[in-house]
Amino acid sequence: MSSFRFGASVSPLLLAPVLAAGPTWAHDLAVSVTARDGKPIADAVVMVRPLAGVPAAPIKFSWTYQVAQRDLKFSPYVLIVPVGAEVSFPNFDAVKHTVYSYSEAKTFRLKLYGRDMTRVVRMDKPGVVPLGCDIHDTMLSYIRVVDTPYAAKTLASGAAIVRDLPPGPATVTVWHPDSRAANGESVRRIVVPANGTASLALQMDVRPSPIQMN
Amino acid sequence: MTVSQQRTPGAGDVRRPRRAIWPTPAFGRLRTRLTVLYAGLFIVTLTLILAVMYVAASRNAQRTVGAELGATGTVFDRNWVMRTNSLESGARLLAKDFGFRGAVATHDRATVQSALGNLNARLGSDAAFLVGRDGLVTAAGGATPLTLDADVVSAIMQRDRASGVFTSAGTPYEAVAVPILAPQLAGWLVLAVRLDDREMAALRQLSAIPLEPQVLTRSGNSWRSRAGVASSQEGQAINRFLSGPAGAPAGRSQGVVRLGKTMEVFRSLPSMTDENAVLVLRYPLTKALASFRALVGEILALSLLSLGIIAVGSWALARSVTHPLLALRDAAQRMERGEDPRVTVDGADEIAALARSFNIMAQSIGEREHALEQSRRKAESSSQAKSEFLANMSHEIRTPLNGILGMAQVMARDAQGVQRDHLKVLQTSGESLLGILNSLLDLSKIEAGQIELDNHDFDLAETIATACDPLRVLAEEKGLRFEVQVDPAAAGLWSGDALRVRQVLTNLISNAVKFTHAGGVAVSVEGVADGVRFRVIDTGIGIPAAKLETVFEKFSQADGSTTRRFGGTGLGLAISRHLVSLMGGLLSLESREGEGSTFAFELPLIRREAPSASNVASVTRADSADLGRPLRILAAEDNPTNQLILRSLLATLDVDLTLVETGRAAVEAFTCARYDVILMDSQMPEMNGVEATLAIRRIESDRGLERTPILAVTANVMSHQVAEYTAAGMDDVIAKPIEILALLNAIDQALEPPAELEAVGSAG
Repeated sequence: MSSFRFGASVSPLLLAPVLAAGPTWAHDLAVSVTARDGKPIADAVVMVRPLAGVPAAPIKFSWTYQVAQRDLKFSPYVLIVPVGAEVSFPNFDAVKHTVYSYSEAKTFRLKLYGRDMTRVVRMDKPGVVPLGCDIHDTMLSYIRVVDTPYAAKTLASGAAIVRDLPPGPATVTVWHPDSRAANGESVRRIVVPANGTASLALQMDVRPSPIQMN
Repeated sequence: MTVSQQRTPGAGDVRRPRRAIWPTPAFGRLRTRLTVLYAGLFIVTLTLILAVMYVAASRNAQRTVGAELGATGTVFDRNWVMRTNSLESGARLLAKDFGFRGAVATHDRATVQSALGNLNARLGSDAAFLVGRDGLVTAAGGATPLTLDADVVSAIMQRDRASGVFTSAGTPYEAVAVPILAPQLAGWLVLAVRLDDREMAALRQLSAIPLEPQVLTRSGNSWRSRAGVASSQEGQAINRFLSGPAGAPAGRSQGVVRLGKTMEVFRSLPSMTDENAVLVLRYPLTKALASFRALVGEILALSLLSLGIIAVGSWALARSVTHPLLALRDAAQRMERGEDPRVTVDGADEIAALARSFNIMAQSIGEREHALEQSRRKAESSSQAKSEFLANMSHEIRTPLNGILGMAQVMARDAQGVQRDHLKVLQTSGESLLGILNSLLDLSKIEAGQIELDNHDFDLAETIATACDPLRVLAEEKGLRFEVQVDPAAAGLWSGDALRVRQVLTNLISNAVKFTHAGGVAVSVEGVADGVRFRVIDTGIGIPAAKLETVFEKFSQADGSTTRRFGGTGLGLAISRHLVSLMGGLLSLESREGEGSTFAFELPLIRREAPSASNVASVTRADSADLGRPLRILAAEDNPTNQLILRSLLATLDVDLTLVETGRAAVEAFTCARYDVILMDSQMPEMNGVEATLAIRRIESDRGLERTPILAVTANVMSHQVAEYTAAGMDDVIAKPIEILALLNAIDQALEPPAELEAVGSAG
């Protein structure tokens, strides 16, 4: 379901030529995540940490750090932000919402606010920040606060590409909110080639999204 | 060919008991039969109705129980689901609670535990748990020391929202697990209810019928409840129920089965783990069929009552049919007895119609009987008149005949030569005429039932000789052989009516001689066990077979032409037959036309022992020598002819005869003079013989005179007449026409000093 939702906002057709041209680019990691039945799993977060360490420079991702409230849903389902990022929570719905999280990474509670209002919360620790709305059980999304610039999430096709990796050995952590693995994480060791693209295929055991449990 | 004139005893027995036409027991049997028939019909109908009722009630009971159980099963299903839902919604409410979620997310264990305890109390469940996302039970509420087995936890984690039955330490539980989202999946809230007796008792309240609910779980190959392992039969039934196809017949899909004396309903329960669970509702048939049993009992009671009513009713019904029939029978018996046979009729049914017809019939029979009686009386009186006429005529004929014969007798005594022969012919013809007259008189007596037997001792051989001798002469004149054989056993003294025996023999022998032209006539007499057998055998013309019956009828001969050829009155055989019957015998006839006839009869005579060679009267003449003077005889006789005869007959004797013409004259004569013997006619003008005798006897006793013998001289010698004479005081009877020998004999006897008072007229 999550992949379907993403597929609606980012067309796989637009990405296809980019991915097809990918291998010519150096030091990339192509990850494909599937369920045990072979279906692609979207919204899996791929985080790569070179053994050599990550650059000290502030991390900046290309997407906006925003979790919108629209149609009684948080969007996107999974958002990757760097540590210290300020995430905005604009409300586009006609009704009011709260936003809260009891996570260790960031515990906060935004009181009810209405349409076209927004709140900003700073994510100061790496980790998983599940987001909920007190009054709407269907509203659930996750912010993955990372401390590495090499992070990406899978698309509806289950594929993600982490670009411009430094060559050499690295630890790849693939997290998904519904994974049955401990902490929802699967960890792999890879070696990023000096010239060329590394690839990683991963199978993941996922449970149905808690949204469906409501 | 044998003809017997008496009916055979067998045939007589069959026809004799006329009352047997309506034997009483037949009605009793009819009533019994009707009663049995009615009762049988009613009982068959009742049995059918009861059987149909029983079958219907039995089917209804089965259907009712099945439907009840099916419906109850559905109720239990729904109740189960509702309880599960209520547990789940309660759990879910808590799982969604902000505070609880916060406590779970922040691992506030104490808060969570108290919340679980609170929830447990609120919902009445037995245990509440918090299962973490890692499968660890992080908190538990409630007093029950329940621990969740690994397979249960695993099932919860696998299915996110598991619910169903599981067992822990042998006790079945039902549990629901709902996820706790805080907001991500933080674990599961598990609520469990122990399926114990209390819970079963609560379930039991759901049903109007007394069901015993029990939760059974599969344990390996067997099924077990808290109470223990279920019977293999029950286990197999459960397995069959669980493995049954979805579209199974109603009975199975409803899970209603019968196990021995219990009806059971199986409801499949959702199971938390791999093991299966069923809810079994047990329904003892004794309870299930209690109302049916009561109904059967009522039916039985009703049947007994009905049987009683049927018995009484059938009897009454049968009686209502036989009662009027019995009344009709009684009426018929009354009619038989000649009483008023009418029956009272009420109603308009068939029996009433029968009774009405009976009355009409009885009335017409009565009228007919009346008419018959009248015509019978008329016939009788005319017959009486005829008989009287005949008797009178006989008397009237006999009187002149007496004159003829008497005079012939008198004249024959003095006649000589040709005249004597002529007188002989005259006498014979007169005697023949007298014979015919006597036959006619006999017949009229027989018909009037006036003939009586006069039994006394007699010598049979002599009687036979008396009968045979005149006829032997006749036979020899015709050139026939004439044989008489008397068995020594038959000879000698017998007691019986010799006169009648002689009469029958004379009839038969004269018949035989009359109808035989060549050969002979044989008379055979044998002594047999109880009497004497007589046979008269001839070689005559015989009698055709077809006529055998009719020859015994009066005025009948074998052929009308016979009369013309042989003469005769045709009375002889009829009289003989009657006389033989009267004497206790049976006259039978064997005959072959042209060859001859044999008449035979047996008489039950009684043997007498005394030898009696001297019984033959040797009186040949009345001797008056003892008296030394002429015998004084007073004779009362009104008829001049008879007077002449008497005078003529006694003329040759030394007799002083006084003749008077009336009884009165006789009495007057008696008062004036003494007589040795009085001869008294019976029918005389002024005073008849009986009256005169009475008067004389009165005078005798008045004057103390010696008794003078009085002899009746009369043609009226029937026994009642003789009795009348004797009663009046007469000493003997002399039949007319007067035979000189008989007259003298009687006078002689009357004069013998020891008078034999028992003397009876013995002359024919």
